[in-house]
Amino acid sequence: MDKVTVEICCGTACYLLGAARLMELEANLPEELKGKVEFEAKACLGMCNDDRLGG
Amino acid sequence: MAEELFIEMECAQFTKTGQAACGDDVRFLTVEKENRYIAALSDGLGSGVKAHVLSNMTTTMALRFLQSNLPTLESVEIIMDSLPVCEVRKISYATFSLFDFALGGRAKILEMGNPGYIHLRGTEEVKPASEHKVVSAHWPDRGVRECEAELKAGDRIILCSDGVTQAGMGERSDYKLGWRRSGVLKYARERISADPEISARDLSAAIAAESVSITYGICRDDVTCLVIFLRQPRVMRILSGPPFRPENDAEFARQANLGEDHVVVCGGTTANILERELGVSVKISLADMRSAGALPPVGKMTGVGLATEGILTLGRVLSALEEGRPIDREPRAAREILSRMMRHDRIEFVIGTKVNECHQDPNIPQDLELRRSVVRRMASVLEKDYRKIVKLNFY
Repeated sequence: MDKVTVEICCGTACYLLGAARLMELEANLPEELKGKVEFEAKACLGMCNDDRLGG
Repeated sequence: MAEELFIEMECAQFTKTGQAACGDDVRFLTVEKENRYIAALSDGLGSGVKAHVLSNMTTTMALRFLQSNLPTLESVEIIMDSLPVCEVRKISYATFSLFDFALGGRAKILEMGNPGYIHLRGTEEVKPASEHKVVSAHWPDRGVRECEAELKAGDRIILCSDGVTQAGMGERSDYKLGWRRSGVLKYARERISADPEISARDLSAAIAAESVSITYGICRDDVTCLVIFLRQPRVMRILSGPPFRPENDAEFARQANLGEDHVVVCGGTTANILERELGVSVKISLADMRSAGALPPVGKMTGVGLATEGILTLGRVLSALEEGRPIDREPRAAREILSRMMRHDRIEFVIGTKVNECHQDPNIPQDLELRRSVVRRMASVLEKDYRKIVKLNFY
């Protein structure tokens, strides 16, 4: 199976609303997912101002 | 030409080992209207709190008197007359070195009891343009040396307390008379020839650290080194916030053209604008994520500069500046910005004023300040407490 890439937003709003905790995911990944997931930090994914996402 | 010059004045200090307060004091004053730069270094008799009080009184008075152009003799008499007399030694005493320079003129340097100043042009020592003694009838044995120095762009002036020049005295057989002024001079020359652009900040830190290393890391006396460097200003730019009108995005992005070491982009949206306008991308490595600390991680825009989160990071930088917190204990993003600020003389803020509406979301667990007000406060503390030239540009 291909690796799944998880993009984590580092923008202000996301960081305060939980992305700060997501940064710790990599270190706390369950055994069965290790090696299958890659993490990438992004400057801002634009979700904070997307009405469809409740922004 | 003259207005392009920046006068960098920085000092490095170590307190005598075991003392709670430093007995040396340094103060700076910039009189903007007169393009005038004043610095005072004083070494109070003895060490600890008593010396601290003596040296603080001396520098405070000296700055006021110099600024108001009181004649040298009168200033010096008032200072010596008003210091309290030491119970044990029956003298009132705080030595001093004062530097007073208006752009375009000569620098005046007044010294009493401190090691003689060093004037370097590149690695060449420059002698004073004029020199004479001023002696007060009240204190006949305490002459003041008054010198005038012809300063040019690229020149450096080094002032030290005797804690620097006497390092090693009576302790190391290879430093029977201490490091001495000649030792400081030789060391400063070596540093300058190794790095001709070395900043006043780095040179003063190097001299102070070298003097402490002579005594194996233990300070036998308070150690202070003050360096003044006349140089072309080193400019950095901080871009933060989306422009109020999107049609200005392109011009806004073009401001990020100073070179990687001199540009910081604060804010996710801001980074996105630069990515789009300049065709670059932000890279945040896993290592960056792991070393982030209490702020979002720092990324890099190749060819452009550093990229950080916006308002939380700027807020953290502002509070560190206002409270004078040590840079090396700050989270990485704030540390990177602060150390860049300290390495530059002129800091230009390029600020987009559009408010990100989602920052007003009541679900956000923290009050977010307006970018514009954070930056204004930052500008004022950088000018006042860190002697930087600050420019604000709003888009």
